[in-house]
Amino acid sequence: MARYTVVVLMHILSKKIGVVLFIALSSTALSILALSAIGSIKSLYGVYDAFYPINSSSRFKIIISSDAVSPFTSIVDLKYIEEKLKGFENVYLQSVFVTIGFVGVEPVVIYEIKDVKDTCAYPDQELLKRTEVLWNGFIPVQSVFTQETLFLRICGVGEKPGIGVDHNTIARIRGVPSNYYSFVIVEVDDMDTLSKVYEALALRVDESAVEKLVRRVMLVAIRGDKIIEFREFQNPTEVYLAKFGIYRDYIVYLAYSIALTALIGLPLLGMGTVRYLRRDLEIFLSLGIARKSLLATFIVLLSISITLSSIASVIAVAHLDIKPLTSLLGYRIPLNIDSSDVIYIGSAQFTLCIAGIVNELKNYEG
Amino acid sequence: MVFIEIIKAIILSILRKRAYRSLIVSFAAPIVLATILLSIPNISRFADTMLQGTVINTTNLFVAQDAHVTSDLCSSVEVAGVVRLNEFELPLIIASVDILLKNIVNFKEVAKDCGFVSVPMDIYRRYLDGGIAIDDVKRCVSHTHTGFYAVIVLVNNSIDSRVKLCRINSLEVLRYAFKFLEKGVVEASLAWITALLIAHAPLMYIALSRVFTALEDEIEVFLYLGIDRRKIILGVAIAITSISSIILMFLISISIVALNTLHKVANLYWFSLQPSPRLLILPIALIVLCLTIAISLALGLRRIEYG
Repeated sequence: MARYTVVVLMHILSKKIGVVLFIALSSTALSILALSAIGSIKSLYGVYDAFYPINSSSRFKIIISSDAVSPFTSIVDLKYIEEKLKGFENVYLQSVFVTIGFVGVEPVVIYEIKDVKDTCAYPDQELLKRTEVLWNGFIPVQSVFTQETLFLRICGVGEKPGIGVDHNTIARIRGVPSNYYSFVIVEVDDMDTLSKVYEALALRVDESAVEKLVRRVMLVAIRGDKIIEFREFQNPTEVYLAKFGIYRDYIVYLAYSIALTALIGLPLLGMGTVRYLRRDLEIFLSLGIARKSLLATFIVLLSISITLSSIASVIAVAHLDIKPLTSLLGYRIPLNIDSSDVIYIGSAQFTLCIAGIVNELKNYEG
Repeated sequence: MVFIEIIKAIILSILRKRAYRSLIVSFAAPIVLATILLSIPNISRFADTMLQGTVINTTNLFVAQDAHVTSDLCSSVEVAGVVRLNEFELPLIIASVDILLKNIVNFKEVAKDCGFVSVPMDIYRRYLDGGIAIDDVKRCVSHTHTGFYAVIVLVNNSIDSRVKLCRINSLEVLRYAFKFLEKGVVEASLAWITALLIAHAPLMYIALSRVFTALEDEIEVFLYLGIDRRKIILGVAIAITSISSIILMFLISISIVALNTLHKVANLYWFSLQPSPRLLILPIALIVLCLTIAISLALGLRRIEYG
């Protein structure tokens, strides 16, 4: 059987290479689309991750955010957190302030830079190029929250996308007193301190939950009014998008459903391939080659072409510039594609194609 | 009459031989996905309901008053000029705080409804010296504000001197931000759907060839009866197009029904956004239909021959 399979395969590769190329091209195109759909949706879901300066230190972390719809609207009173954690040793607080403002009609991220002059602004190079609303070395930034427009002096070019300003200015744009921040990251060195921090913050978490959460490293405690209410999330974006009724699991299901639906026409590709090779197949069958050998040939052919198309599609997706989905407020968000996604898509393509081939081969008598 | 008979016979044959199944498979991906992706919830509408409850109440810092100042101000204070912004003429009032306080009884109330523009002192001085024309103010504010009633320059010697802008509603900007996001998602979806349609064209070709293969006997009979080849090609193409349009409508309807059912079921357990189907799906369906007609005609010209 193996010999017949090789003979048929060699015949197809030498005489009907067009069929192989057709399968490879079609599956590459669909694979690119499926992977870009999964990658874009997953990237969009993790859109706020870019704003969290989470380093890879071995410390345990709790992120304290308010009950908001985005990190740009979240506010946390640092004084309140500091009071709660007064007297603790080996507890490190990192406060981060990001908000959103308008430059002209374009929404931009405003972030805090330490040790800079009041009224100084550090817009990024791209923003400076894009915007035409510079007014004699000043940039007008309109607050979404107070409607106030601040004319900030451009003192340099910022490294991150958006506009870097000092703490007082960002607090003014956000319309809050200076002791407020977007979120506070509490870092501790050991588990014992972590439990004490939970207690101090009035977070009611049982031991098993603590272990589960520690494994995830990323924790988010929501603060509403004067009570710190604890909720567990897998990543920061989930905290905010949950308010819109958008949950991580459903987003992942949606991404994979879209990718699979995009591939649903592939049985036709399998049928078309067999149909195109029908004369050759009929000759092979009349020569006594079993249908099983033909099926084996197609399995080998599909495996090769789908593997090659998967590699080609990964390279293509990595180099494709799908701007609307991979950038938000100037932040470039890479497409979030795992190697497992490539394997899932490749397997789905193979299964659907082979289903079509099997269905069409039934019509051929031995 | 013969033409109608051909169409009727072809449609019945397609239905009897279930040749429409491959058409459904080839149309399913682009149409179902286009319907789903073009039904993304209208987020800007959502800002009216959800955000007022979450953003404003949680932070207690969101200023959201409406301005009712124009008539009050303009009737009491001399209007120094007119600033033309976005087709509207707005009064430009240059006055000191003292004058305003004297002329407008409820100025403090009015001031609450105004947005402030902090102007750096050197620019303000240049403005007072006449170094900056009204056009500069116009250019500056027209880029930063989408709706306000009046531009009020408070002439004061203190460092706090500001240009005041009275605006309409602070939620407008937020709603705009959501529209911006929604537009981006719809544009990206359209680009993706276009690419999917292009990638699906060969599959549609295979599906239509299968339909033609299924109709081989009927076509032979028509040719044997001496019916004009062009009439047969056109008849087959029209029959396939009719069935395709029904399939497309069916797929669009079933996708919308599925989306709404999912939303209703989901809403029983947690808050979920209402899908809002867009009419953009119709041009996409039309493109699919045109593609079907073109492929059918091409296949017909190639495969329907005398003898």
